[in-house]
Amino acid sequence: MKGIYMMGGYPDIETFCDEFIFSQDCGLDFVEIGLPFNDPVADGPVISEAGEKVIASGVKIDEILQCVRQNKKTGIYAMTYSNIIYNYPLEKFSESFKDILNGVIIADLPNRYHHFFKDKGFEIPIIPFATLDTNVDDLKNMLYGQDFIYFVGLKGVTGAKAKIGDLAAVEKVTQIRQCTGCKVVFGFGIKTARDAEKVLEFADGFVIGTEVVKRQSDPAEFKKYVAELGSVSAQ
Amino acid sequence: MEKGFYGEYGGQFVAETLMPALNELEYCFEKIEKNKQFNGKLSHYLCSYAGRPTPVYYAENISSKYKLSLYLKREDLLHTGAHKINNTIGQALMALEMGKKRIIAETGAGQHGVATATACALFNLECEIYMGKTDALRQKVNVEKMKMLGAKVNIVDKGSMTLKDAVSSCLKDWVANVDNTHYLLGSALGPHPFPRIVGHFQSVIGREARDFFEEKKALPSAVVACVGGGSNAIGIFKGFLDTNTELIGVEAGGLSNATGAHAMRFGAGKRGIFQGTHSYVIQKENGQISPVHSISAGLDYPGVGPEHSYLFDTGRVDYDYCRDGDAVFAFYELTHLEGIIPALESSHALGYVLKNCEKFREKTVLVNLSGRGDKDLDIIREYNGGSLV
Ligand SMILES: Cc1ncc(COP(=O)(O)O)c(C=O)c1O
Repeated sequence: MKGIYMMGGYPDIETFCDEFIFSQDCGLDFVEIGLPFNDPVADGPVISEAGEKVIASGVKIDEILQCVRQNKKTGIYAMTYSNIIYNYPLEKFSESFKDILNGVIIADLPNRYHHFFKDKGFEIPIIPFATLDTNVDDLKNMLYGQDFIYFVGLKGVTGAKAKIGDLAAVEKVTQIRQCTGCKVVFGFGIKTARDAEKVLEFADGFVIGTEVVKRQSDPAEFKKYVAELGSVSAQ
Repeated sequence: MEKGFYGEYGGQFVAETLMPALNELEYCFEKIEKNKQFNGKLSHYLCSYAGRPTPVYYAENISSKYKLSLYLKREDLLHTGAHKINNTIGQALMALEMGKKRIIAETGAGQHGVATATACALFNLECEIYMGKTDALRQKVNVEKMKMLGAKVNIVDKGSMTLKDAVSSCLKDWVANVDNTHYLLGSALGPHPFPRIVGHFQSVIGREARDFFEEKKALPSAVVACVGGGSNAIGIFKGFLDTNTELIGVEAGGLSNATGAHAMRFGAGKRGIFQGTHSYVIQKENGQISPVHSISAGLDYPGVGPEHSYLFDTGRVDYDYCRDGDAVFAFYELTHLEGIIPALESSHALGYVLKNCEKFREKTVLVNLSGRGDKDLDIIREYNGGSLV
């Protein structure tokens, strides 16, 4: 599963939409759409600043997801923070977007608290996280048919660099795949197509964020880079 | 009640990568909370180093002028000048228990930063403080103190450059350095178990105050405290929750009710999830966090500790506000009439009482004087257009 993260509505809604359309036809399996929040505690400077710009420009979630709705061909996951969904409000977010979102990835909603959303009527699958410290039995109890488990490849915020192929991470990912039977996508810290190839040697997929967002303000660069990621395959 | 929640408020809304650190912290807290040896050590430092117990002072001149009986819980007399040291000594001792050698902390007014740097100097811990640029400019003396005490001070120039952004920076630092670092959070805020830990270490304020009034065989009619994140307030309230004493938390009313001009979470916020906890939050309709304002750097925060949200909903505590101007007025009243220069944060609690003195006529009111005001002279000077007197 090859995926990218794009900041929704960045650098402006037209450019975003044009680039999103491109992303749907270049060999990628899924795209995560960032819905910006102005206290992005899991994000490094690149994604934080892109998000601030979208918020300042006044682009709304509905406009971002309208473009997604009209052009979706791959899997689509919204990636955001709890408060954005909680105050949409939650039930309405679920109702409005469950037909186009294959899942949500909520940076500040750890696995233990999925029920806080689900108990309030949230029906979109919440992608669980795994880390080097994850207890696999606990993780198993979190699964109810989500498309994949998101393995957080480093301790830190988005934009830092992970050591790809680090033995402990490879072993953990392997253990999770075996014990859960669920696909594992590796995110956080991947920079290049070469990194992505390496990830595919031990995980079911990868997702690249910061390096993609950096290029969103330059469509030609974006398309070149994303096409390259779309053609990555395991060696 | 679900663990880590106060009613529906609280929880741990953080990155999955922080969960092991929160679990470790909870485990440590449960071990030390009632541990004789730990509490012996804590009380040794609180008494012989920080200056506990603090007195309850009957403010005779204000009382006669305003026709009420005003008592002050003198947290301003503690070492470093505010209640913050109760928590920093407690958590620094916990960091030693957990074997964490590096401490990070946010600070707004700088009082928590100074109290953290102080505890780190005492216990030989490495210390890094995050402080918003706006706050660093308005609380310069505290920045100098932290540096002298050996802390590295990181100035945060993101977002509103105040307490909110300092907390965000700490959470980001913590997630990257969680193995050797303890985040010494300064208020009853953030993800579980922080609200519980900070509330616990500050509850000494309420215990001492309760003992004072028990001895007099007459509890106060009201206890009033300012509410930034909520630690001094929860600390003093905990001594009176099981009584009929009226409890009042005072938020920063700022300049007006306009968005961005105040920090009234209960007055103008709604439920949200912010910096690790489900609580009342000042936010826009679309869930973005709103800008806030207060003349006092310690009350200038869009969120509030989850236990306060619970006490608000249940009605056990009333939350009201005090405007910038009324706080400054109270700052001068206490200075002139009692010879006590209060922190601007604490001046909000006092300002509320003076403004509403009719309501408290002939009644006994206890105000938590959470800190002293030397740090605020620059702000007051600027507010007055250049002079202090
Ligand atoms: C003297 C003083 N009082 C009150 C506060 C507000 O914090 P809290 O609500 O946690 O007591 C601060 C915060 O910096 C402070 O320095």
